[in-house]
Amino acid sequence: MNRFAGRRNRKIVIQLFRAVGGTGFPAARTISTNPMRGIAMKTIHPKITEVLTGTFKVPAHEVLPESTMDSLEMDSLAVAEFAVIIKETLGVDADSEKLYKDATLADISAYIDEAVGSTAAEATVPVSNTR
Amino acid sequence: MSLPADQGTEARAGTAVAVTGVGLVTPAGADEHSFWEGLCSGRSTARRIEELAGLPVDFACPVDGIDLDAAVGGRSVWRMARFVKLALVAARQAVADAGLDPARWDGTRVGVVLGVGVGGVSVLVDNAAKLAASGPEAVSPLLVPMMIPNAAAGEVAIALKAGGPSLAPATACASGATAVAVARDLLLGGSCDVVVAGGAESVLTPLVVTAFARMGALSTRTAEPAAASRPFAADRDGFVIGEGAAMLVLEREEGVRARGGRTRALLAGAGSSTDAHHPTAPAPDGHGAERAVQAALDQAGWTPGDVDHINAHGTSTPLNDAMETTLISRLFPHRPPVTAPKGVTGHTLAAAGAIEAVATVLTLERSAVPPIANLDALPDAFPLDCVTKEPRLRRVETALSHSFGFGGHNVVLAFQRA
Repeated sequence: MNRFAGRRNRKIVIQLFRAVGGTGFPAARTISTNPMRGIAMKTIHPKITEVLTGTFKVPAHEVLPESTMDSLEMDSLAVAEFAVIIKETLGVDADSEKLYKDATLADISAYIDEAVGSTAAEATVPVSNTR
Repeated sequence: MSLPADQGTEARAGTAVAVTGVGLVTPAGADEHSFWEGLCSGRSTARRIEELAGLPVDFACPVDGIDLDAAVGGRSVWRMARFVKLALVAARQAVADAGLDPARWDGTRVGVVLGVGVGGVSVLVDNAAKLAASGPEAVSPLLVPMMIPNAAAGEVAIALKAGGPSLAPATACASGATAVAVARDLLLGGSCDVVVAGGAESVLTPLVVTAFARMGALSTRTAEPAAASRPFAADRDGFVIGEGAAMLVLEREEGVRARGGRTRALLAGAGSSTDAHHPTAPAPDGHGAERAVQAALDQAGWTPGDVDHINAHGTSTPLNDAMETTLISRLFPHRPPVTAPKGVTGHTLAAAGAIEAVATVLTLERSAVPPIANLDALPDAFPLDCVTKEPRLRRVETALSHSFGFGGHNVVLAFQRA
């Protein structure tokens, strides 16, 4: 762990609180029971779909809002690499073990959308269009 | 030749190792048949490489015409550097060719020996640039497992469910041949019943190609890349770097018989030695290499006069080909026909010894010695019977494959017709 990790994690936790309405981690259960987040629940950020299917060869039909990295057979190194790619392409920083490993793709999308702001959110497309 | 009854019998009586499968992905072809066709065409596969544009040497022998990710298949390609993918495709070919099924064998008796000289240097270079430009968080967590030279042996073992010993010998340009020699020891020592052995390399990157160019090892015939690799030619000026992989399945001959398998050729002997002379230049008199030849002959129970054919290391560098000419002409005055596949494939570094082992097996099987690319006439000082222009059709019972690597590593494999 590098010397910036603690500071970065605090920032991420704050962002995550915003993303899920301040109810805290894990985001998956919070989002899925929150009707106000209905839109986010059904969408996956297109970059997530692109990276999972393109780089990690996850079958497209398995890329669902409720899928977790674990259910997609993404091991910890794969999830860490996923985080590096998200950081490289979208500029979104995250501790992969804390924020991506056990979250659903809907949670991760919500987190990424929050982190990159409204521009990326507008680019989010319904799941059905990403298959 | 035909071996006298008392020669080679020891090998056949229980210490013989059989080649039962081969697989390869090379610049000359991505399977055994297209490779053999490419080799027999005598045409170099060297061409300009876009990524090398503007560098002192801007050409190489790449592997074309195969979608490696598709060939590897599955979910794991993202974590594999190119040399690993090449190795894995070749290994699967070899195992299928041997008629073996990893789902059914006792994997604990299966070994993998996969020589790699450099490893995933392009992954290393990419991540060094990311670290400099964007800081530690841009560095891939996969950098180490992707770049280490033994990544190929590890991934092949995973894919083949091979739980026996696995090794990644690094003897530079002799690594693939060292792997085959080590496989023989593992089989004869009883550690394994099956060994999948060979070599892989893929370093056609600006840094590595430039580094070889800076040391003066590469041909600088940039105006005419396809004429650049010309083993034993008087006007040779260096090697042409290539990429590829080749794997062989090796088993004890009695084991092959017991399972009803097919022996494609016998590995009758393997000899290794070290020049202990210079980091890169071969000892000019070839006496270090000669000890490897002698060791291989001794294991096989042959005399030099028993050798029907030599698959030379033949890199197209001034020093190697001069040394090897001295060696061959001194040891083999009966002038067995000589070929040098690097004229066609370029020098695939760690893969070369394995690719040329496969070429030698095919030569024994098909009774044809492939020609040396770009070799029109030998200078008078080269008293070798080099095969040129087209394959020479002749029955070959015994053959040696030479591999010599930076560091002074010499490996000679002795193959016998099955």
